[in-house]
Amino acid sequence: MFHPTLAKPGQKTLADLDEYRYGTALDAFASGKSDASMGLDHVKTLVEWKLCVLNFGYATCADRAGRPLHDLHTQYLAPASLSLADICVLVAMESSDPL
Amino acid sequence: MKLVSSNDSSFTESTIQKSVKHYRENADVPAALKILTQLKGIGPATASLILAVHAPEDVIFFADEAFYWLCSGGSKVPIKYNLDEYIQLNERARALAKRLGVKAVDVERVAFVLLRQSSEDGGANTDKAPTMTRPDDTSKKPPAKRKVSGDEAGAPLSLRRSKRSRRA
Repeated sequence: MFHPTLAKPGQKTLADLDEYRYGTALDAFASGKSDASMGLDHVKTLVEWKLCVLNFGYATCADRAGRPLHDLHTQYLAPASLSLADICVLVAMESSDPL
Repeated sequence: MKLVSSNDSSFTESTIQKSVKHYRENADVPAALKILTQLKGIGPATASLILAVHAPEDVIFFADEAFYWLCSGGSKVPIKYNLDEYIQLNERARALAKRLGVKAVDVERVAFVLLRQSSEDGGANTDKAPTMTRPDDTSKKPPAKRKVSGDEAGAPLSLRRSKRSRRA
């Protein structure tokens, strides 16, 4: 069940970490976007995101963010470039082998 | 995190540069990951995350959800987090991304939505395995595809219904 609590002072919320993983980091390091070099601090932030998501699950991290899990799905996970519903339809209905 | 933090800053930066350069010149994911795993506390999963940030079109992060979805038909099988498993995952993610015309990072995010939605329906951190069709697996089991699709009681089915009702 969802038990909203806020992140501790100084602790990154899931929203912060997701924004970094899918926004800031991609803008900085993805192919051809910039010449920035990834350093140890960047790696540590990515590992923090990974630990948050994988070890504790999005539900726990959602608690930290103090927001319902569904909102997090909608805001941070659904790809903005295409309709999530469209992907789900394709995946659910697809019968051909992609390979 | 402690082990990761213990890496030397300049060695970390140069190792990542070397890995990314090797990937961009050779498109050799396993070799690029092996370079990254020279860093302390960096295994194949975290290495894939670092590389995925640099190549979101073609490299997927080794997320549990993505592996369950693409490599085990939605079942929460034990994951060894080794290179062989990741290679299998990345190949399947690339195939799916190519077929749908999306990026690997999009596949990753959809995996989170699909698998986490399933957990949310059954309670967070549940061990109940979501019954989902692996996207490339239906051709191998054509008679079961509608039944399997119907078993997708989580997000995919509800979203599909929602989409259809809007279209109607």
